[in-house]
Amino acid sequence: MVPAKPPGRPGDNPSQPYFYPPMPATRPDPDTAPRRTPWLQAWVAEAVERIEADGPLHDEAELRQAFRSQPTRQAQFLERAWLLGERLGLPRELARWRHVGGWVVLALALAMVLSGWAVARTVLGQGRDINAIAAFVATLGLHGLTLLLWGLGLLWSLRGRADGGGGLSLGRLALWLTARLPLERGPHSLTLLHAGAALLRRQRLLPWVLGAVSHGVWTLAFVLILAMLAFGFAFHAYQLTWETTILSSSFFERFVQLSGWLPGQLGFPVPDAASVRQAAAASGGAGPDAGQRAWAWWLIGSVAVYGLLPRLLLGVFSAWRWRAGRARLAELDKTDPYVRRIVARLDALEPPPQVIDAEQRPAPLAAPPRPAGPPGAPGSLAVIGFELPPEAPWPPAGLPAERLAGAHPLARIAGSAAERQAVLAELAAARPESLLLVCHGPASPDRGTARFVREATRLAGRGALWPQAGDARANARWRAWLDSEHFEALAGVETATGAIKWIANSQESAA
Amino acid sequence: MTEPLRIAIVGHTNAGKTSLLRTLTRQVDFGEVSDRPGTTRHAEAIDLRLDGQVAVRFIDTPGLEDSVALLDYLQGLPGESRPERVRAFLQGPEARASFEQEAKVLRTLLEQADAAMIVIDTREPVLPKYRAEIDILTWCARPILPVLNFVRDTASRRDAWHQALLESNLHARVEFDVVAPFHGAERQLYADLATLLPTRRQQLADIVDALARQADERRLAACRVIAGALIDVAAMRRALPADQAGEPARRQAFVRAFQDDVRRHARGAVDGLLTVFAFRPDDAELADLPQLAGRWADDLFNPELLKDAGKRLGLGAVIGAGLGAVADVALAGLSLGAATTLGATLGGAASGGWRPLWRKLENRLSGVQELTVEDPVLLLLADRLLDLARALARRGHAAMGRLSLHAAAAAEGGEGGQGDAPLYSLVRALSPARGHPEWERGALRGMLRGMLRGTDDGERRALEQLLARLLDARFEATDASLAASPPPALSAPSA
Repeated sequence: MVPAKPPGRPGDNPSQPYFYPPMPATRPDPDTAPRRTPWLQAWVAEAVERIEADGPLHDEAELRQAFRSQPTRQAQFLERAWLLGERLGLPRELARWRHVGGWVVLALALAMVLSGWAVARTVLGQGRDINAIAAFVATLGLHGLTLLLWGLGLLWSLRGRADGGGGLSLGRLALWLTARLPLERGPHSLTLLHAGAALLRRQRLLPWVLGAVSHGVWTLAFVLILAMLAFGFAFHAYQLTWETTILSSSFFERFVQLSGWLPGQLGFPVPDAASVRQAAAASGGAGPDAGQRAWAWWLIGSVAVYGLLPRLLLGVFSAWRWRAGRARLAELDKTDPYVRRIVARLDALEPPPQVIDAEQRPAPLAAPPRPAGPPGAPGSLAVIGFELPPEAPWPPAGLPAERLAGAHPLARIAGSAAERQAVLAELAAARPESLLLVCHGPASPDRGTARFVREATRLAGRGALWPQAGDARANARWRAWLDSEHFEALAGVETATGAIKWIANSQESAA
Repeated sequence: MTEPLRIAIVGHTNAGKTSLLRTLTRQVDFGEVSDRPGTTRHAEAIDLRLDGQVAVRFIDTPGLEDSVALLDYLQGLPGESRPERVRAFLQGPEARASFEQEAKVLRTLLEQADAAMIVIDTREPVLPKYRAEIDILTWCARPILPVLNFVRDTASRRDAWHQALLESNLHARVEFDVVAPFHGAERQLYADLATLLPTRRQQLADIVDALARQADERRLAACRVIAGALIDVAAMRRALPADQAGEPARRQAFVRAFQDDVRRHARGAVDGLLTVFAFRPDDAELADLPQLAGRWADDLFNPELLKDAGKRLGLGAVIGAGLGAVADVALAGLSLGAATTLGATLGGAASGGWRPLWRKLENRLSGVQELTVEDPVLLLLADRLLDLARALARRGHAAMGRLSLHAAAAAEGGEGGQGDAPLYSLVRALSPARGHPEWERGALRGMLRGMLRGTDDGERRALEQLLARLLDARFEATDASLAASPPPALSAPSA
């Protein structure tokens, strides 16, 4: 196992070979290359997957480097993608997107600040009379509408629809603008953008990211509106009134009571019914008194509680969801065929199985010496069945009965130590001229067989081995085994006729 | 971090030890498998990695070939206990001479392994040498799990072996065909090992869980490979200019090129499936499997099969008889002409936007004809790929022969008669892809168009997921029915 090294960019280590194809200026520039975070790595990995959809990239060097430098498959997968991404210039693109995205968000924030300023101007700027209800709608109307749309979009996307971008929100506008601004673009810049969006969508994070952006911008706008309202009400004397043609004054009383309830809970003064009635524009109004102060606080409280507070909370919540979900982004989807292909290639880089006890083939055993003394009578025959299966016929079918009648020993053994000793003793006593060993063809010859064959054949004038009931492949296997075990003196027969012929040979030579 | 479990794989020569390891570790190229005796002559360690960590370290050992003589020899050695005698043997001279190979096995078992699996070729009779082998192994005082191999073979002597194991006091056993593993046999193998290694029970349970998770991931990945290929093929759309449409020769060449592209996608899916199930794409043995040799890729345009598939889809026998002048072209399974594809496009217009429809109308006015794939081809393709995926999922990594699917294919045919609701819903789910020619992977034209239009492939992915779920449901269904048919994979030890 290669010890895991802390992740480092390939440029960090000049001694390590690193493969760059002829692509100019793709070496990451420390100033512009973004810092590697899990989210950026996942983003680049997704983009590389998309680029590879039409054919894999040449990645031998990157794959090996990722394998060497990272401990887990997940980290190796992301590292490989990152290295390939560097080759393709993706981090640079990424930096550019961030750059552009930052400007777009800033521009949006500026626009919102301007619109907030405009709203505050419309509220405060038309003389000393302020239509309180119109001011309420002007400051909170658009905000309420977009908040509703965002909520609906969120529900939609959480219910699993593919396209859940948070409806018509500022965040979506920012994304749209970033994608469409005609700026200097690399070859993979759109791919990168799609990859990012798809990645977020897949992990159900897109609404939260876009939400964090739009709520942030709205929060900024509300802070400004509140500051201007507070400034205006603090140092100018305004007349807060209401007007109506068709509504009754009780409607305004109820409206103020209802809308003021929540700010009231937080300590904002709420105009009472009397001051609401008094504030009717028709009634001519009154000087700056307690009632007017309550009206001003009611407006400020409403903007703070219904405008700033929800945006701030939702912004924080979105940011928290995004932070919490970011860790998930880097997780490998093992059911993705593309991921599996890369992981399989990483698996192939694992060191091969390790030989822990190498082969030391002992010198071939010297054939035991032939026993002294005369061999058996000419023409004498022994037939031994060795390790035959129980259903094999015995004596072997196909051999002439009269020859078998004269065979001694004519034995079949399963191969236990006692049986082996017994039959070897019989052979030693009989010393036949010919020994026919019958084995089970389909079985594999092994060194136990070799030991017995060696010990038995030295007690006979000549020997033959008949692997019974084997097919052509089994016969070839036995023949190869006879050669490899140096049984050159042993004849191999494969059929009953072959065996008869081999036995007859001995009779001819005897005759 | 727990120590990996160390398991020695022992057994007689040529019983299938290396094959078992290939199947358990899903590594096709581990060791050397052949029917030559004594192929493995050294002890070799191979790791089973789960989630990147070594979970089990298997040690492949050479065969115990000369067990009768060794047992005889061991019995004559001095020592208080049996393991003592084995140690005496390992230190003695014969451990480096006549019993060198056997010494490797015993050394591994005594010094390096927590347990042993003894692989038994049940086609062999229970001979004294095998009994001696088991005896010697029990002398090492390590838990031993007998793995009965080739139990599905007609020549298997399963019962005799059961008896022999009981006589050697081995009461746990697993039946495991290394070439065609039983459904769930791997799980049972580890579960049974846990009864022999109670201290490692939790570890083994984790392994079983991780293996199950991996199997699920593999299956789902396979379904996604198939889903991707189906979308590619369903999205295929090639325009034939008006002046070429009139010439039969040009048109035939056009149709042939289109069919080749369909086969290319099928081939891509096959390669993907092989990767998912950790087989080598260039595996010589796999290359001449009937499914992989492209035989069924030709079947995709076989009029008879398409007719059957059309019946299964409830389309009747009108397949290939699209619109207009198709009768003179061998258009099996393909549609040529503006009007039929117009219908399909209208169907997909809701999800695909109106642009394809507009293009279609434009083509129609300028006399351009477009070639697309008909539903029966998709059905056949889905069917074949699923068959292959199922076969690969249950194929052992030691298999050297051909993958025979006749039985499965027959079962499939029988099912087809009663209509194929799941596959039908699958084909219907593919209809949105028909409105998105840019969804076809590997078609440069399509990719460029996708880039220019600035689409991202969220919809394609969503469809792929949906199809994968449908395929997965079908995968499982047949899996269960097949698993039920063979004799019970495991039998409880009957003491």
